[in-house]
Amino acid sequence: MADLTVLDEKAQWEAKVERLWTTRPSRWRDAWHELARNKLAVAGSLIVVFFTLVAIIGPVLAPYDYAKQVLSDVLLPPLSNGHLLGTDELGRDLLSRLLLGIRISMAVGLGTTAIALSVGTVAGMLAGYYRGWVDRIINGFVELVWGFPLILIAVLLIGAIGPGLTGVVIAVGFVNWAGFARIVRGEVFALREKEFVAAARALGKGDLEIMARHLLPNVVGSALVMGSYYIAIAIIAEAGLSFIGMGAQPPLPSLGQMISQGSGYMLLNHWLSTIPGFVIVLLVLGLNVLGDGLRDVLDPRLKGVS
Amino acid sequence: MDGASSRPAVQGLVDQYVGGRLSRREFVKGALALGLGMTTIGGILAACSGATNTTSGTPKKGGTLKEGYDLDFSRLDPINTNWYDPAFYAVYESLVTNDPQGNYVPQIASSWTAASDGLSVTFKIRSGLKFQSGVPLNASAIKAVYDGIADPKNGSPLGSVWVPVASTEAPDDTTLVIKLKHPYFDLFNIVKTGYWDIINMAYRTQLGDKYGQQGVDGSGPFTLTEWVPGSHTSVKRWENYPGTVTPFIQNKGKPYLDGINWLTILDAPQRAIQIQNGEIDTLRGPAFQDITRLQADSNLTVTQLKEWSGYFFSLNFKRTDLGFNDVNVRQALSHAIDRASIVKALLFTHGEPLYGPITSADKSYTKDVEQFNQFDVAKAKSMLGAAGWKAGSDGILVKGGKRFTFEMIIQAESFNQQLGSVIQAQLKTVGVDLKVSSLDRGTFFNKAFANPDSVMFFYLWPVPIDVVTLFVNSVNANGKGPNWGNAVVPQVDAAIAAWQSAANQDQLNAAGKQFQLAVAEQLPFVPVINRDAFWVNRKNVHGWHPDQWNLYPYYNDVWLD
Amino acid sequence: MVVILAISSAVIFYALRSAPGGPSGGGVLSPLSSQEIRQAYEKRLGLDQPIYTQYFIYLGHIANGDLGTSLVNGTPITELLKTHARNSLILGLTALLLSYLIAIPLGVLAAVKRNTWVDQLAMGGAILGMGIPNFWLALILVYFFSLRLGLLPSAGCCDPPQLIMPALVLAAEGTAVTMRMTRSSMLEHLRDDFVRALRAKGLPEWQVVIRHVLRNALIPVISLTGLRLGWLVGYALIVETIFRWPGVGYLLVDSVLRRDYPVAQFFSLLLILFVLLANWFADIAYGLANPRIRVA
Repeated sequence: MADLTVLDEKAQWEAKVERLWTTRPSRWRDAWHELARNKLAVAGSLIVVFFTLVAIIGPVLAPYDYAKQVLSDVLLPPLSNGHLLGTDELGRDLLSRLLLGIRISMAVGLGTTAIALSVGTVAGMLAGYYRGWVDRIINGFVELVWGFPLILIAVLLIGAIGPGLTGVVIAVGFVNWAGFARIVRGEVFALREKEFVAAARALGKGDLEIMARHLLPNVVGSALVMGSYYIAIAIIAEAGLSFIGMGAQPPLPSLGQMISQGSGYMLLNHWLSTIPGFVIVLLVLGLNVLGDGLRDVLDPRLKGVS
Repeated sequence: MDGASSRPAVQGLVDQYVGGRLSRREFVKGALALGLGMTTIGGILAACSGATNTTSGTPKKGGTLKEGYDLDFSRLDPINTNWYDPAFYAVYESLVTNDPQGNYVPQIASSWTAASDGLSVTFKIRSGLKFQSGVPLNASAIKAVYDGIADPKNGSPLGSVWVPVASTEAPDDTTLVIKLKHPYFDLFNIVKTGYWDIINMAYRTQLGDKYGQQGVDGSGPFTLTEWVPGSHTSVKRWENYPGTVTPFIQNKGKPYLDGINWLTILDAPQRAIQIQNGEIDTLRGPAFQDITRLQADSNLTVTQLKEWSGYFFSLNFKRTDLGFNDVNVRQALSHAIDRASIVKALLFTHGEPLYGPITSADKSYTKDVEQFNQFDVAKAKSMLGAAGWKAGSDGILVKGGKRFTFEMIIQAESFNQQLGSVIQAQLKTVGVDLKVSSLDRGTFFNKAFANPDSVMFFYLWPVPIDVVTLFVNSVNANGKGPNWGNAVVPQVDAAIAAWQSAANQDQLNAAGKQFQLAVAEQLPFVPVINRDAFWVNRKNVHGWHPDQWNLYPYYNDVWLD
Repeated sequence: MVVILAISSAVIFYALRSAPGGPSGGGVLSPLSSQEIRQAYEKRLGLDQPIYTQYFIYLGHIANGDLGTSLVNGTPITELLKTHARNSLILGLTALLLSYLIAIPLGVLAAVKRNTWVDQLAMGGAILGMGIPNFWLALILVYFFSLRLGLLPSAGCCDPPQLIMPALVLAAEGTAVTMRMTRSSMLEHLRDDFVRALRAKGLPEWQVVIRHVLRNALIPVISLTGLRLGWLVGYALIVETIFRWPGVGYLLVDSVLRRDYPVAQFFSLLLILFVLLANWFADIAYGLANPRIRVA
């Protein structure tokens, strides 16, 4: 009977699709195990986790108000009485400021990357899936923005709206989304041709569902790798902009701000600049190494290569 | 070799060696050529070794001085400039100037007499002077400049200090008469400043906005080659400089230097680095934390002088909701500022608190201002309480549902930011929430004229009372001038009037005292601190002598080793 | 590309002119001048007209080849272009050269000595190089070489010693990235079949590596040059400002802060054009090198 054969075929397709679908969770489990074996990546992720914790609860545990000035106690060296890391040129406790600075850096880094990742992934997905004129428009924007020197945009933007963290977040987010879009778009191009997508479409699943359930999980891996790198880029960018006075305004202790303010005291009181600098280096290192580890795990082709 | 006939020659050699114009080797060579034996030469050298003194040696011609400057350059147009910077002292001259003891001495004017009724001053102008372009510099040229300053069209912000002048006459080429509406003893303090430098007004009118940018025409010993604000200003020796009659300048003719190159180094710590490295030869204004290090450097000479400057902030009288028009509120805020601590922590004690508008180094300073504006947090709190302010849950004062919060704008620069931070923290202790906005130049001055709540600024002028009047004179409110706080204080205006009509030194002193007390008590602006001036030069720079009375050194005597 | 430039120029024009502040505070007028004088000055510059009018006037000037002059000191922009572009090129090319000179040999070495301490050290250095903020590096270098040792000048232009530190700082991040890329690329190509054949032929190892493998391995690295140039522009802004190196980046930051509109407009467009060209060049180069990519 013709009806029954068609029903049979349909059932077979559905089963095949479901099988492809359910293999994904264990793939994640494998990935996790692989990651754990890479010692460097583990170290990196520990650093990142540590700083995230510091960002969340650090400022609450700070021994002093980050803005409290004690003009009679300026420029105390680290390990002075009551000031583990010393004080700055206005007598503010360096440790307390550092803790808040870490929170600001992490917040800016995570915040801008979250925005960039969401916008970029959606854009890349749409471009890669629909192709045609949708792709041309979106990709046009992507190409325009992607190679753009972040600083240039930031300088112009902040020249227009005034200095402050808002400008930094907008500028950084504005440029970084393109990086995500590019990668996602590339991946979707490849995935689109894979059989399970064709299968899903044949089953009558809508575009949105395909993108959300089938494509998205596959690109998430790459997006995460990128994310790690981009958080690092965002943190450095915010520090750089704050350093030249265009980012966080005093008394907010952005790490870049602290380095900038401390730069005048390098000879006798270098810790004002070197300590925040080390923190940035450590944090960015952790993020980069984690990114490397994630990439090795999620893209085995490149594994032996770096 | 006949000793007697060669002795003058030997003496000449010795003089040259001692004066630093001959190296030891050259001296030996010359002495040998004159027939002296090595033992004799050795003896002479030994005797000379203590006397070798390059500092009092003969000036050498040539070289370009590289000078570091701690502010940005302003346009080389005395009539419409920011503050006048060192290049003014190279490119321009004024009618009279000060010597290192503070006396008025001739420059373009060779002598002067004041009429017995005090209503006019007659200057004798040196004859035969020319501008660098060749145009004659005579009394009419000077009259053109002074009339130009008085003409509001030219936009001189200093018009208000020229008000007592009725007219300027030039009856002949070498006579200039300034006629006054009433005796104005302060006149000399005005005309000696760089703002009254003599320029070729016709050329200025011709170039318009471009005067001071692309070209200048003055009568000073150097001509302008390049002016790039944010970077550098360069001048070179004017070969037709007629010389100077100013007594304390030793070099009466053309300058020794081929040229001068000023570099603006806005990054404070970089200034000390650059002079220690020899990247610059002289420097004004190293960062305060570097002073001790520079003083310990044997290649450098550090000169510390009192500076006629002040940091202050305005409070906009129009913010009646906060009570800025109420003197008690202004005084309360002032009492919250711990000036002495600021001097100690930010200036490393190289400065002093300002309880009144001007520094104690000024002739007219009166100690009576020190009874005002003393650091007293309790008093501040009680005065604010009396004005109806009560502390809210977060510690910030509230009155009628309104929080005591306002914004202070400052020019983006590291010291300003530190000072702004400190003021912010100190006002917080009495419950005031101050926001500090650090603005770049382009925005800062525009906003200053747009009724900001508060502006923090720094003045620098050899006769500080004159410049302070600009900031507190009610005629300069509402965008007419730099009275950014729109301060209207009758006592202050009256004191300004008294100052401008003083007929002799005693009246001037009395008026000065009256003015200081009025400002200190009524606070048309809130004075904060005054800093010392630091000048640094490398040991190979000679004849460079910053002094207390002139903002910058004269360059006529400078020569390089 | 023209479209992008046109849009960018309009956006920049609008952004700059509607931003608070104006050139009257930027150094030409006395800041103590009254509002009247300030307004008269802005009127003379045509700044009181609506922005779109100003924009069309500006376009008209450009069409006539008149790029304008700096509002701050009257220098024609063409002259500024000559001096500042030359300075930036010197700095940028030196940095680029430095980074390749350091990164490629190290990358090759790391690949050849894979997983040995040489490799770990080099890669560690690379990761560190990617993590150090360039302004912090500048601070540290100045501290050591200018402040402590007095060996190098701390700022300014244009003697060769003044070029050393800015070029090093500018090269730092790119060196790290290039080193990693070179290593990856080398490792990939060291596995090519023909390499085994060459070795079997008895060729000494260094010849195999340098003469044959390197050539192939360098292709993706070199084709990245275009992109590198683009990124350099961004970093150059900060480095030039820190070291007071009078290049285009320094000029741009300064002119934006002073609201020197003609200069800010021209040089931001110039930089955008430069980045676009660099990206375009990179795309072509990469496409040539890697035909597979061209399909996507």
